[in-house]
Amino acid sequence: MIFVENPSFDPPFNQAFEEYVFERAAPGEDALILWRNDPAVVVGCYQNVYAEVNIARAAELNVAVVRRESGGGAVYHDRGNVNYTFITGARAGGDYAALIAPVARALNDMGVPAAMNRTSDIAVNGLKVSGSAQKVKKDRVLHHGTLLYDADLSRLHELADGERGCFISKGVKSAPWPVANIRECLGRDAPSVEDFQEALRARLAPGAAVLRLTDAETASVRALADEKYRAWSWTCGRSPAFTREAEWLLGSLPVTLRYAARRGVIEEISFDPPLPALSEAARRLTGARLETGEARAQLAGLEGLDGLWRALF
Amino acid sequence: MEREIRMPKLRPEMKKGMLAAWLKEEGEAFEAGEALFEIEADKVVGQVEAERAGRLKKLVVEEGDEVEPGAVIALVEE
Repeated sequence: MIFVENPSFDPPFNQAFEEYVFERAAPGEDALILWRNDPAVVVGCYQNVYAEVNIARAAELNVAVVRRESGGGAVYHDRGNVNYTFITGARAGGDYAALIAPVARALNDMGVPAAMNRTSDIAVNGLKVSGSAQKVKKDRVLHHGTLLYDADLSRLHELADGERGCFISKGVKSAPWPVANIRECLGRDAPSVEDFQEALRARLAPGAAVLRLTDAETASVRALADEKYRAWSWTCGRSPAFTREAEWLLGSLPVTLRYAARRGVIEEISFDPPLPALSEAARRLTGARLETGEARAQLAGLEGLDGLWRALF
Repeated sequence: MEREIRMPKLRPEMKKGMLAAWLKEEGEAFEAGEALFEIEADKVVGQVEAERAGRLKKLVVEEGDEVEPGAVIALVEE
């Protein structure tokens, strides 16, 4: 087992870091990465990002939205959440029990009464403290999971609490479960999140060689982060085709807007009632990317429709 | 020769899997070892490679559709 150090808190960089190590890990060598993110919602590889998270609200709160390579649903990360990534042989692919057990044991060893829950979660007294997901490629599996230690659970509920209303699309839906922070069950002497992360490392990879990326490797990770994980085309454009219905107030008049989008681009949009004041908006939004800046720019200069862009998300 | 490609199992417990993405188009040729498609089940995304060279003759299952393991998802010509 090798331990690969990642001191970054940048969500797109960290997603790229994981992919980079996964693609290059030597055959037969198991790796562990422990990492934390600045506030972010991380959606599953085949989710409709728009159905999972209000990207306009996330941007306002300075919360990054990132799409990962593994399956499953949307999760909220911040610096109070520790992520673990195991990279190992593909024979462990799909075997959650084998990969989660050491994490649950490490928690037990720290005095946390944690146990496996559902297929891929760890819970304490029935409350989820950890979820996990996998990517299997060639002869390797990447298994990663969250560990809510001292995360902002109100943010989590606001931004990543299951699918939002009035979306019709294929793709993977999140399966929310009541959550808790691990720190709550450690009482007054609970360690800091940094010490918790160190305690995990000591238990999950005792005596492992510690590796750091070289400057050149870090530059490659940065390039991958910019090309892929920071790109609208990956995070938003990979969403399955969907239709959405939303309510909006034009002054005091309730208006229902309906649109169909494919690859994150609005293909068709209509308003009910079909007011003349909205026909130019519909014309401009047809063919527009579902991206906050673009939606605002398309609607700029249309009188009385200042807040309409927000209703798209 | 024509061969059927079937939905694989990502884990023994898998009841259904989603054909998440075709990585080759209908009519496209591929070499052995090239990635053909990705599936997702139980939060596992699995990439599936061609065992031998061929050409993707017909896609039977669309992206986003869920099928049982063993269901025919595509036809290939070898």
